[in-house]
Amino acid sequence: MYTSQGKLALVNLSSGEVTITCTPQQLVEKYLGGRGLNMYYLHKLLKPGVDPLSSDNVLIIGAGLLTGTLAPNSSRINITAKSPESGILGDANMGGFFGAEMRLAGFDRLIILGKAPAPVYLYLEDGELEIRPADPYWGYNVNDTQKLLRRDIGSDIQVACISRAGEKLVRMACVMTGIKNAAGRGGMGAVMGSKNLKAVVARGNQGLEVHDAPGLFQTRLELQNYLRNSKVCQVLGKVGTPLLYENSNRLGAIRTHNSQLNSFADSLNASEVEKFTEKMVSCYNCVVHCRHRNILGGEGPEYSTLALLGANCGIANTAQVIELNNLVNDLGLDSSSTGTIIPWAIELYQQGIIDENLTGRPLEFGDFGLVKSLIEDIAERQGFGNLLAESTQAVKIFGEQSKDYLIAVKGLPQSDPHDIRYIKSFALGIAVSSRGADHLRGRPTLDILDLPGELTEKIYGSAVSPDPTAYDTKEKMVYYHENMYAVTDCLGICKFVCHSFNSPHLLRREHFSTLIEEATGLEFSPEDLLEAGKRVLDLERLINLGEGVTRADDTLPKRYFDEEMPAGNTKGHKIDRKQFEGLLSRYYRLRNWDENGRPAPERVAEIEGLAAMDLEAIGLEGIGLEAIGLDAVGLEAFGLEAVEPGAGGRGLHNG
Amino acid sequence: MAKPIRVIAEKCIGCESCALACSMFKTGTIRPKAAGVVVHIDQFNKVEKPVLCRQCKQPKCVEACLTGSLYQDADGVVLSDKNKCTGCWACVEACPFDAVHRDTIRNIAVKCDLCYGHEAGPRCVTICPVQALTLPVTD
Repeated sequence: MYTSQGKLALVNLSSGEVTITCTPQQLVEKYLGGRGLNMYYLHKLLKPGVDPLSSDNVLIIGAGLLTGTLAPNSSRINITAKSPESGILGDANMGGFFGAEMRLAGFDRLIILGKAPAPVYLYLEDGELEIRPADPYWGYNVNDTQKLLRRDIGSDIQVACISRAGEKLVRMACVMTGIKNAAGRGGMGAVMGSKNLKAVVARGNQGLEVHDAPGLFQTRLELQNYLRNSKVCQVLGKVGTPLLYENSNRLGAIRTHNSQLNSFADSLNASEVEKFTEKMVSCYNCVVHCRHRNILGGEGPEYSTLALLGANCGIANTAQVIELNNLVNDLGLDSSSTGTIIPWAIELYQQGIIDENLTGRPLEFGDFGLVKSLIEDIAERQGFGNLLAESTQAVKIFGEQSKDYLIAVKGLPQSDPHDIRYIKSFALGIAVSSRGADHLRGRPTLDILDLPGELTEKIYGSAVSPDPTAYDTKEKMVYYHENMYAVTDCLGICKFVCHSFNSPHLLRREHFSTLIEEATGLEFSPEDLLEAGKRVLDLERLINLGEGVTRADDTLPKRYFDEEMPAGNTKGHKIDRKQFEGLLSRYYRLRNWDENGRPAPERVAEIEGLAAMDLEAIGLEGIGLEAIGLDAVGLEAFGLEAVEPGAGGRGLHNG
Repeated sequence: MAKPIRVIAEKCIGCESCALACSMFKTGTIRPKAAGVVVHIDQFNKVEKPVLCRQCKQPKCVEACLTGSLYQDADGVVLSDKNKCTGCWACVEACPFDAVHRDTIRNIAVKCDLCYGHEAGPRCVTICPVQALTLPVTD
């Protein structure tokens, strides 16, 4: 045990058995926590090829190594399972207050197996876990579910819950906490719904011990002062992420009309959104406060929601977009997927690939009423919305041709509203992201900031091209940013205060080493942290290979290769297939993967060696694993040797 | 005479940094519900409100204390002797401002003592990232 270590709970919802144990320190040293340890347990416990919406899926809710501590912006947790949206690994990171409360209640991680016979929620308090009936809360959306739980249990709880969309297994359903904090990506809400798990409720009284309180306090003050003086943190605290809209739009790289166009109205600029802001508020222990409380009764919008439900749907009215934002949050829908799937359907209708027999009505861009009702229908799985609720898997219904217009990779709709045909590093990041098309795995856009060459050389270790449209050297950026983001996700720190997300400055691995030592007493050098980040990326690759991912899946939407950007400063740009394949090969080599994207044998041996640790050694014995078919855990049962690439029950991968 | 820490609630962003720092030193663990300053946060009703002792001249909590745990020093700072506290919560009930808090793990009352004896001053004021907590102007 190290200072502040919490418990690991294994919950078999089928049998009602609960085992409470701890993660061995040996694994913490390799995978840190958060996303890293979640991936360890997913790899160990998930049988390749299972239906993500069956009781065989493994749902893991894991806090970062620093979550809940006095480290700046340490609010975050990861929720991980096989994704019902993409069919590969699913993993979503969430801020707010729930993750810290789970830690304050004595738990670092929950591994949830099986399926409850009737709706339940989990209640955590001071090292104890109860499975409780959730019938009074089933059928409610995000806000009402939390209000009812607070009414019944007390206002000093934090809740992570699903909405009706999660209950109805909508494939882009989120897990939500508070009004807008979402574990948004990959349909983790649908996984909870499939397990009849409505919510997890935490009440933390016992708190977190601290290894070196005076040291941690002093470091926190120094870092807070540093961050508060950073321009990017100041702007985020004033207008939040919508600041990015104008940058992308001015460049001519905003996704609009399903990426048929690349520039849109100024009415979605941050200066316009700001007019609807009542107050900026923060997550747990945050020094940035980038969350807008809006005057229309919700929180947000973030840049992604603003641009995808606005520009991508062709809706320019600021108030209407904020209303849609508030709606998807309460309905517990991933705004990135929703704001990609609806415009996709509208274009399919315009192209004549689907017709009114399927849609039930004409589909047009810019129709606020249409978009609003489609969102409601998706959440309720009614009418045409029931088909859209399948997200990318609706290709099976709309036909193969529809895939040509789908802005998704590996079955996950693209999250960032940036049209990545211009910035080639961004394009590679989206293509190789381990959860599908997503910018929070490795958004490498420092080359758009026009930074001095010596600074980028210092960051990346060798020179990178300052030209954002160049392919040469951009593999180094993606490699570097992916490693950094993996580390921050393992620690539970918000990326907005971390080096390399929006800035070449802010918190670096050296800072993390100090914070970890002061908070936990564990010693990790900056190099140890980097190696852990790389290890997590390699592990995620192994999980995805087990689900049938191949090099062919590390690609981009067809439109990005075949169609030039139509207007603005970016006019004429697209992705060159040959150059892209060269870039991908260089990225693989940098990661020490072979030409097919398989990690090096020594890394595979290391990861599988850790995964083969017997159940007893990692505290997993006696939890009724036999009931879900995991009676003997050995290399053969989970190793890749038993699974040929291409096998398994993956869903739709990008074509 | 001692003056309480001034709260500018409209500036509060609800991050609880004050309560984390306070509890870390007051209780030895990070426990924002058992701090001298507790932040009432209710996203659904738009509440971010730090609550801490007003250092009343005639403190109801001291009057209510059954064990002599709570007392005022010569400057009027309301202090607590945790060794005498039995966790009867009479002070918690008596405070008209809900500024005495329950530490249900150690079973003692916790309240703001202006970081008594800490030369650098109240830690909650130091750590607040938005200056929602400030020191009073001294006489």
